[in-house]
Amino acid sequence: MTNIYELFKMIFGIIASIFILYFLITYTAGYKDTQLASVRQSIVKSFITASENVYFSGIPFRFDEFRSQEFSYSLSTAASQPQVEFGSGKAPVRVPLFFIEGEELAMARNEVDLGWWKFYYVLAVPAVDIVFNLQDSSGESADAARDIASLFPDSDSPAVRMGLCSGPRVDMYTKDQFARLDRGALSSAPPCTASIGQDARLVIISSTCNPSQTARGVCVHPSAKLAYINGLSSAYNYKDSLDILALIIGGEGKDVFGSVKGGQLFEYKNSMMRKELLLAAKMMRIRAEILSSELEECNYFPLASGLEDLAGILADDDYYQKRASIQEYLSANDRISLGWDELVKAGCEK
Amino acid sequence: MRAQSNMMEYVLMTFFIVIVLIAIIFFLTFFQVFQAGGEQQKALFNRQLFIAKYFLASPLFAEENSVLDDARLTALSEGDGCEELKGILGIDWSAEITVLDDSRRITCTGFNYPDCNYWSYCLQNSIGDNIAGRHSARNQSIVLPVSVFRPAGERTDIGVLKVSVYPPR
Repeated sequence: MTNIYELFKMIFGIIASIFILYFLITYTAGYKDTQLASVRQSIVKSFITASENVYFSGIPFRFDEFRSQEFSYSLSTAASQPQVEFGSGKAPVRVPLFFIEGEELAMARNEVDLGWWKFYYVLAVPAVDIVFNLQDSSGESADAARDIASLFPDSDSPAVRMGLCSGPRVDMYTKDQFARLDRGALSSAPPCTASIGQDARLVIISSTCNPSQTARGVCVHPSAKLAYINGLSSAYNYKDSLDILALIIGGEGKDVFGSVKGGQLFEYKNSMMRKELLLAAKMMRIRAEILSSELEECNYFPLASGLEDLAGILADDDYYQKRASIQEYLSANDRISLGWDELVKAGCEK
Repeated sequence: MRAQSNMMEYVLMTFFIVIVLIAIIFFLTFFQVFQAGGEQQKALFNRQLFIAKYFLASPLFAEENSVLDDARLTALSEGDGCEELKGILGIDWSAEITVLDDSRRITCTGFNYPDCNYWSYCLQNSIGDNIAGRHSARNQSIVLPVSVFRPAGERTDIGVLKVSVYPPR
């Protein structure tokens, strides 16, 4: 009997140990994954909260929580509600947010200022070099380079630097130094053949941009208001510098479906801005009508008329893809700005 | 007999170990569920704050940061402003702004402007599609003091902004 009991103890001990060990290992592994996902979720939420704080306050911020965990994250704009995706997790983004993935990000709020209305957005970038290659010496090209550079956060840590590429040579500057470069420094240069860092973004500014010339980065044609991105044969009609910024930030990388990320971000920007601008145009038109009956000395008619035209243009979801609609959009905005400036001059608006 | 009793000891010991393990798992699971409940409350509060901040900062409502413009508020409450705002701020929320001027509450429209003192957005009172009614016991509100610029009278009044968010259905 003792022998049988010894045998029982051994077999029972082995079975019980295997069961308990298996159970503990499986559970702790699952628990570890859950906790890891929870930590990542909380970092991404914290990033989104930081972006909202920057959006509402306008105060720049340095976000470095991605340092504590190494994982990949990206902006998904496929659904109606944009989301930051990380592994199998997702967190909704409620403010217009453009970012390049990195461990330490400089965040700042910028705006597209139409005079009578502003579209705010948040830009978050890690240490990055924005390298310009100006291929003609027009003042328009130099202004375009300065405009694009001015959109990036002024940050030393992480270092956001601007570069000028001329053939095999690249000169790097801080944002402040770049803004102070004279017209001579921003003159025509040969095509960039230098090896720029893998994470750097190349912006070619040229009056001869075409898809075949855009073998790297983004090519901007300022007088035609067209932009090309490597990997796409079609041209993007741009209306403001945020359109170009979206192409630069999104970059020429492709997602799993083979879609160029810069193009996706361009669509995202225009869809977000159209939604807000359409509501603003309708609201401001009604406001103009209400105030014109109260403030008889103020002429709100040109403003209201321009806003009505603008709302009509924006009613088309894809207006930003049509060159004729963009011309009408710009013209309507010019008329609205004139009407608004007149009202400000007359003391009717601030 | 003694061997049988020893075997029973083993079985009992194993049984208790399993009970302890199950208790630990229950505790950890309950802890996570409790945490998730707290997160949901926090998310609702964050959403209220987000909507309130949006009202105070967006050029759709504010003349300058934190100063609401009564003509913009009136224009937005006309037409399908609520539906378009839902496209930006999501569904299941409402906002009310009241100017504290000691007179009775008069809802602002294009017809009675500027002799009015109350604006509401996405507030639903009818039974049926009544979000407020369905969740009235559970909805959460925050109330903040705000400045309301009144261009017709060229003055700035004090008011309150009340934002309510309804839990997911």
